[in-house]
Amino acid sequence: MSFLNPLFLIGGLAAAVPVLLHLVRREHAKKIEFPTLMFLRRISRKTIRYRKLRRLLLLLLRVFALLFIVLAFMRPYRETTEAAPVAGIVTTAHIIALDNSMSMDYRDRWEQARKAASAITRNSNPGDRFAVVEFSDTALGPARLTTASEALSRIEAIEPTDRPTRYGQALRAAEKLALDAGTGKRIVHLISDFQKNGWTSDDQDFRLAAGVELRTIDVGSDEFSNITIRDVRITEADETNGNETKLTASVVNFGNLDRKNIRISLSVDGREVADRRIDISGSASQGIDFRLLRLVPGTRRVVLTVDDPNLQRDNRFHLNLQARGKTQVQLVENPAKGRHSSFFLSKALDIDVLSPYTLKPAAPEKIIRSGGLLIWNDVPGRTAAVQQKIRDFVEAGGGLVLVLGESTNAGEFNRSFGSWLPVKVAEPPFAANRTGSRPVEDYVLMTDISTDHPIFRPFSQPHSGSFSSARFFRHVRVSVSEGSEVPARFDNGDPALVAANAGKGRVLVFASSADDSMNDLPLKAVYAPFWQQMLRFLEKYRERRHWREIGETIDPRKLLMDAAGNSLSDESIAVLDPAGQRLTAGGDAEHVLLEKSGFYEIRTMNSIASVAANTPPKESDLTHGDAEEMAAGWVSHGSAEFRQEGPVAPEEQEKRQRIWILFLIAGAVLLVSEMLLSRAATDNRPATPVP
Amino acid sequence: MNDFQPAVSDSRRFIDPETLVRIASLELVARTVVEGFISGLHRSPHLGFSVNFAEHRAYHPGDDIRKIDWNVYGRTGRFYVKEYEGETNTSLHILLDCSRSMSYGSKGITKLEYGQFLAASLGYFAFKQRDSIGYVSYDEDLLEYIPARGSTGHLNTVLHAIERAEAGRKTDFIKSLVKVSERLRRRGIVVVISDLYDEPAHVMNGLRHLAFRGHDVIVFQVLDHAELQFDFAAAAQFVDMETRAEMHVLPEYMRSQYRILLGKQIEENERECRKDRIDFSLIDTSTPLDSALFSYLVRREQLY
Repeated sequence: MSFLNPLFLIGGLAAAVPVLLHLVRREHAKKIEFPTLMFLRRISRKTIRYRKLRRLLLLLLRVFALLFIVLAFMRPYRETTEAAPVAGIVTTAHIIALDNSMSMDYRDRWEQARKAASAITRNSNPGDRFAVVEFSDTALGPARLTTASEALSRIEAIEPTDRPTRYGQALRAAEKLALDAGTGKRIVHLISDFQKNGWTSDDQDFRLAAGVELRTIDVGSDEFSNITIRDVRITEADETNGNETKLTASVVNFGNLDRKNIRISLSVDGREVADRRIDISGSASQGIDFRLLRLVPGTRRVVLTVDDPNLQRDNRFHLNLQARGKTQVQLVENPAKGRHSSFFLSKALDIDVLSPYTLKPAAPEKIIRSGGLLIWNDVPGRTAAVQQKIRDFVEAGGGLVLVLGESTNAGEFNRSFGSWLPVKVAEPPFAANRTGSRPVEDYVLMTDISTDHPIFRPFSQPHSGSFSSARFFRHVRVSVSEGSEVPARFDNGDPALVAANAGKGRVLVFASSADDSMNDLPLKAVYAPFWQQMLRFLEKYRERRHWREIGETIDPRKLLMDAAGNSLSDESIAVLDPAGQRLTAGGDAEHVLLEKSGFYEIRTMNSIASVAANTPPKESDLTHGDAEEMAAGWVSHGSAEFRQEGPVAPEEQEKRQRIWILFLIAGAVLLVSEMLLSRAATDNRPATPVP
Repeated sequence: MNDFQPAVSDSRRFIDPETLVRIASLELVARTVVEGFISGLHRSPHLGFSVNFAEHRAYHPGDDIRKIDWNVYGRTGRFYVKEYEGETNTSLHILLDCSRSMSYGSKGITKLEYGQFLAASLGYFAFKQRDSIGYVSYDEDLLEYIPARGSTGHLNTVLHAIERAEAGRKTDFIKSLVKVSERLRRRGIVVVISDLYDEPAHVMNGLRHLAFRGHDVIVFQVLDHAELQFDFAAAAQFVDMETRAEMHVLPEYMRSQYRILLGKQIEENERECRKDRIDFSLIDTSTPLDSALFSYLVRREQLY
């Protein structure tokens, strides 16, 4: 209960007066010398007890009478945010749309909202029906209307989520329930902080059906302060940054209050490794750098945490950092050419910090069969055994780059590689007008490039490297058949690069030399990234996303396959949410909706993948929208009503309830009772006539 | 039964007891009271006898009609006979209770002081009637005993003795009055001035001892106004003046019962006294002494 005039409580101290008097009189009863106690002793104890009891009762009547009168003057009222039910309405359908998006967890907004929702169920008429729709960017509601008590139970069970705000779905769901309610008064109570970002263009087009009244209860405020990490930029280790991985966290202060001494901490795999303290002005952002030493290869779970008590759900930014380490690439060279043919390759790939690959020269007979990468650099004279080995290598999941250089023999190639690959070398292998010399003007260019292809996608942006300046003086003419693709062609139409699958592996056929004997590609800047892209393609390397946003869905099986680099057949997949709860399992893993911030785990018997999920950055911006304006836009003109309520003013609540009258009446009744009892109790009869 | 308020009571003529306290000399008090009383009787048209009781008395059938004072008859229409000085000769014994409870007083005069004034006034009055006067003070035993004498100097002795009286110890009616009755050989009027705060049986036994010896006993139960009304307001710890026992008292809840019990006790005293032809008067110390004197007067008149 609340009070309009709490200071009147001081008057309540007056209620203590009779008690004090009562006590003082007892404690400090004076002594009176009296001639004899003879007659006093004859007065029965029962009489005295009875009279004492009556005296106590009088005391209680006085105290409570005073108390009730004081309470009446204090003007009590029961807090409610719901307008009084309209008189005369027998039943009303109340659809309570309760916003439980992340922004509602700011300070005490959620408690206010829950209280307001509960008040609606309590201040209703008998026969009214209810439905509670909890919404964020999705809406969850019951199939039908229920009773007030069931609605209240549901309200008490709802908790805020990590999800963003979207009003459209909530209103649609609420409208449907309202229309299903049939005839009678239908009211949609929208309880929200009316975050501006939650109002999208889709929502602006929505209109409530005719006959449905919309009432808004706004628990948001124009004043707020929320600090969060909106984004993290990852700079891979290189020789310019001391071989450290650099994380730059973009810290944003939403709200116009300057904040001081805010702590930002960094943890890797659950262990805090660094922290910073910053001062950040209102409505400003700041970049904070963290450096990590060379990480152990694998996926590392990184969490950046900002200590901001106002809205804690967006204080943590999760991301997965892949520390790849070096991938070994087997290189089979043409012994006749010596080391020169691989000179440029080694410069492009075998670099300490710039390349995730390392070349390992291998003899044809000693090719490692258990997957990996292999560059067959213009090597002729393959024996059947070697050929089979190569085939087994690829079909087991390995990646093979076939470099067709000067040593290419069409017949030999077609009999060997051509027997299991959809690629054939034309006869003669080189262009007819190519004589082996290098006329300066006689070359082709690799201009027809599929930038959608994973190999060339990084080169699709401007200033990201161009192949058109590389001159190919000689190339091998290849033809392709079904089952292959040609990501790049020369300007004369001949395939420059052919990609084909074989078994579990992939093969790339490059129709020119890897060195500068047939082209000057090695002299171009794109040479090294081109080779690295080809190798990434072959090892099915996916630039995995470091984190995702809540609200996205993931395909657990696909993610695991990307992480493992191979298919999973029918292995059972389990997905655990950040709280460790199992979400799904089974041969056919379903798409999983990311609903909580943290790390999701996707597991099989043999492999594991991690997905970092973060709260949507926009939801951290608590800028308050105009509830009236928003709600007015959702109401059909001339049909449905709109009433903005907000919390009812205390004076208005008190005026409606008039609880003070009850207290005053109670006080008056007690006073009258006290008067009557006091008269009966006090002995004012005239003295007994004595003889 | 004596009227609580004497017919001649007039606050303008009779000094209230609180004022008497201020008079230093007990003899003067006695004289003042008695003279005032007598003068009141003189002026009253309702009385049927002269104040000169040494010279007149009411006519009884059988009296010598030659002694009838026709002047008085002419004035009053009633027959009175002349008595010569020395003709009436009785003795008055004043028994004054000096127990501790008598020292209680709520309005500026204690019961003992009132009793002293009463005793002195009666003594003076009796002296004027040529009666011999004796005095006894007691509490749980006899304190002082002055046999009855008729001389002028004896009045002063008695008055001095009365003046010396102080509240003493507890009350023991039987013991004290039995002793008194043994000492009083000559029959006369015995006036007992006391609050009678003893066991009722003890009180009556003590009085009966006197009555059975042939004395005419007049009992004045002297009580303070506060004792009679019990008009105490606040709760208090009451202390018995004689036994020192204590009791927490809520007057507003005990007043009516107290009055009832006290009234019953007084009624019983009076009833028991009547049985034994003992005069009983309840005296409130807030009222003038004339009512007491009037009682004495009437009683003496009945006797003689």
